[in-house]
Amino acid sequence: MFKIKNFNYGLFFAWFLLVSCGIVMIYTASISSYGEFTQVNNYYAKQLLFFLFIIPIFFIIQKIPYFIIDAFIIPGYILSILFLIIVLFTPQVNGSHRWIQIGSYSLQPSEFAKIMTILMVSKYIAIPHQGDARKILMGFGISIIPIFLIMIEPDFGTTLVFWVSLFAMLMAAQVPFIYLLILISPVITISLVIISPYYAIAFLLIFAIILFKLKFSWVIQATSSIVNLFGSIIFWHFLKPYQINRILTFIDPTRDPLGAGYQVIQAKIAIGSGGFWGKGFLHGTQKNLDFLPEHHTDFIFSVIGEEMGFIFSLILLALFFFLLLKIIISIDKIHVRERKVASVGIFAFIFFQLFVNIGMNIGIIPTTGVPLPYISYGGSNLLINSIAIALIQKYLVEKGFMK
Amino acid sequence: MNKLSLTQTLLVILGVGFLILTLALVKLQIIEGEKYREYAVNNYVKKSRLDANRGEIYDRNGLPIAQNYPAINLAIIPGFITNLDSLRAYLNTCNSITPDELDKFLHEARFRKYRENNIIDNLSQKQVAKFAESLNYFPELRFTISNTRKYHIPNHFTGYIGRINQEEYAVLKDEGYHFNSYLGKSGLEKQYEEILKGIDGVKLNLVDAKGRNLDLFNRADYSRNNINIPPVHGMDLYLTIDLPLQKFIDETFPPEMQGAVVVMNYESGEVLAYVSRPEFDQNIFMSRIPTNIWDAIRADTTKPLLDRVSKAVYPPGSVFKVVTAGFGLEKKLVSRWTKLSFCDGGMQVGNRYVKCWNKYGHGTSNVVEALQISCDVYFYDLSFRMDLNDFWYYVKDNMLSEKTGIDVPNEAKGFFPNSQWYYDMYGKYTSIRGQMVNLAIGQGEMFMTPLQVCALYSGLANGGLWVKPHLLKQAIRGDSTLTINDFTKNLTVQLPYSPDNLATINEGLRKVVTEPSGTAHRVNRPNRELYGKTGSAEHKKDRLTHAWFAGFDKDSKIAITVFCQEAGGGGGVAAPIGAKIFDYYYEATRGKDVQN
Repeated sequence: MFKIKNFNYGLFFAWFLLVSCGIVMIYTASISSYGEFTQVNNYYAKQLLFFLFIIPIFFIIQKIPYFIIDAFIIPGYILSILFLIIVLFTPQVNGSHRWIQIGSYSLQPSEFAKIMTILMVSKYIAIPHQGDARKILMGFGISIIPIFLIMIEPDFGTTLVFWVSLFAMLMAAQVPFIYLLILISPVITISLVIISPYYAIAFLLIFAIILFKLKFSWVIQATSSIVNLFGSIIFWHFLKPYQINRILTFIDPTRDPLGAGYQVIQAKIAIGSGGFWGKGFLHGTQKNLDFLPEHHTDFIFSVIGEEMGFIFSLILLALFFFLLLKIIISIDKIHVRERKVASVGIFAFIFFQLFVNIGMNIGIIPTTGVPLPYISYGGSNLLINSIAIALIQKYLVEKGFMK
Repeated sequence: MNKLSLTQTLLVILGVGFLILTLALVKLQIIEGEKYREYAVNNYVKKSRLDANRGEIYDRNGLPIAQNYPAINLAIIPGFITNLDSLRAYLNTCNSITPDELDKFLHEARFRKYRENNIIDNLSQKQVAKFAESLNYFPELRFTISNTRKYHIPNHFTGYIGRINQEEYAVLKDEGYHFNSYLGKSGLEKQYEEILKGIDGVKLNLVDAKGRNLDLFNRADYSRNNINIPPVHGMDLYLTIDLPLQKFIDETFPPEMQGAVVVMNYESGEVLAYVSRPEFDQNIFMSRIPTNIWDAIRADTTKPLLDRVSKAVYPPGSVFKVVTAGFGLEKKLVSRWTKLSFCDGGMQVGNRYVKCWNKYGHGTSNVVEALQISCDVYFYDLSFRMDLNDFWYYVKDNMLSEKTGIDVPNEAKGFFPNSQWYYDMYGKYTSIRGQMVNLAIGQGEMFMTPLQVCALYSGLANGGLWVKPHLLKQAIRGDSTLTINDFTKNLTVQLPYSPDNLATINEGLRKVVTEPSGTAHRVNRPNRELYGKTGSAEHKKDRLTHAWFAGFDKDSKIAITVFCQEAGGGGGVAAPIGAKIFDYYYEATRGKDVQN
């Protein structure tokens, strides 16, 4: 129909349906009404406009020759890093520099950096006949620049997406899991330190035993232990108080119900009070009376849960599941190694954002500023997530071979 | 085990991730849905309190005794405190709340950080002006409005209300009390707290996250949800007190003297006047008391806080002789006409000579004459015929070492010893005979409240039927009315006097007034039927005696007890006060129905 061979209708329609649902949900999230008073924001219209703008892009990407896309990777990566630097000089919004304001629209460079970094990493670590250490160093070196820049915005949640994508891609590039474990061990120790230092000590001991048993060289053993120990201690000091606060409040949300725990509690109340059938479209009390913060962006899932109930939340989850399943099946079918690695990165970042966002809405994960892909309001986010789907569709039809 | 391929790994991760999310959703929306629905309702429905007005207190004529007035309070919202040090300094200099007091207050309020906790109640206009100036600098401070109490006459029976304290709040918070609530701390305010308090109402408002009142419940389409609960105001108390009489006694009682006056209707037990001196003004408890004033009140040796009518006990002296006489007659130890030992200003008891109050002596007398002239020797001699333990029971039957059960809390019980007590106190071989001589004339180890004395004389006036004294006439709210019968049982007790013996004693009491030799002759008024007995109770060496007068007026049906602490002789000090009260009340009620 679009003269595209191997067009994956499932993938396309899952994406299409999700974004459509998103626009409908942004519509209800834009409206707060009580009694005769109704306040309507135009978020849904903007999102619809983005969507109408993105649909052609989806098909244009299918028509662009590969060499152009490949040639664009390095400049695109550099450009996105430049944007990440520029964004640091913009005025703060809510305590961080995340958006570049262009007219009435705002651009979020970290979103562009996400996809460019994935493409860049996959381009370099997919080169055959290179050692695992080289792959790790390559991936790490490429990712660390945007991660560092986003870290000082600061936007902790988004950096996590980078890390997760990086590790997924390294795994896809057949780097043994134990190396990745060595790499992420400081993160694990840091997380454990936050819960209880004893857990961290126990983890370090077990980790050291594993390294010893697997007969790693003493250099790796010593470095990893030292990095783990000192890294976690130093990192603990670098964590912003509000971040520590968020994690601690996550463990006990009632600690400060009007402070950091407010969002978590209100989101849980919204979703829980929706029950099985929900309160009805446009009738969420939590949303209408503004108890839910940021209900058109990060907390849109609580609007869904409140107004549409468990039944629709489940349908939405099923749609996401279907989309991600389609991506996995596509990954299996993609024959070009570089594309395969990139697709895994894309899978990882979509899945991670989805999991973290819904998880924080239902209170099983600390609050991190990660939007719900395809559903949350936000042009940059929607554009990048859609391009990601478009790229997978494009890779799917590439005639290639495992090099 | 085969290593998982890349796609298999991704599938496992995907499956596990979605399983976790689905299970968490099931738990949140289906298992705990009901709970969160309730939370959501609590979120947007803000309950505010509609304070019930505390019942006011009036006298029997409907004249106000205690009323409500609006008050402005200073409240702290601890959660809004930005600079604790400056707040400490400000309150310390501005209203002498020490930093320690403030810290204690904030500690107590730690679980209601975002509520208005009143810290200074009932600000004066000057204080309001002073705080209003600087309220801008302290977002945590604000004014709140509530009711305060004003007591129109200083008295000891209404008691006073006070802010609920931490311990009381812990117990009472489920019974409709608020941490800013007031409750009765003493007196009638405490006794009738339950009916005075009323029940606070609830007003439901729909609010948004910023607390804006959306005022939806008052609209027609929400009216089916209108579940505002109006407050039930407290019941107004109408007391048996006759305020003009109370005020008259207040003015008549010598201002520098300590003491108590009780007037009651002997037929109904209604207390018409309840005066304790020195008086104190309860209104000082309605706002923050400066420490120096409070210390001064507590250090005052005249004990203005003490309720001398029902909470303090004194030796009754000769007013007690009616009980001794009654015991003698009832147990047939003497008859109406029996004359006992010759009084030559005293008599020999064992190896000591006990004096009569009149050093010139009274000669021999029978029981009526002995009461009339208050001859101690007669009663000394009578005491030789008495058994202490029998007497102890008799005194108990006269309701003298029992609480009268008046509706003012913390009444004193009074005390009368028995032989066991003397054994415990002074050892097995103490001479009870020697003590009995003293007890027979109402001195020694016996103590009673002026109220008990008044109740006893009421009983004598009322044909031997003792009526429980009480202060509540009616409690009224709208159509519902409660009387004292709704609160106490057993209002009457038959005193242990046969009609003949009672007539004999009353004859004695009548002659105290009518005969020129009677100790209360100056109370005598022609054409009126007045009875009385004076008393001058020794209690400490080198101190003036307590002056007592107890009597009743058969015309206006009142019994009076006048007690003047360390004031001298009953006939000279207390009886004239009693006479003035009789006259006043007789004049005031002449031609009117006494029962009102």
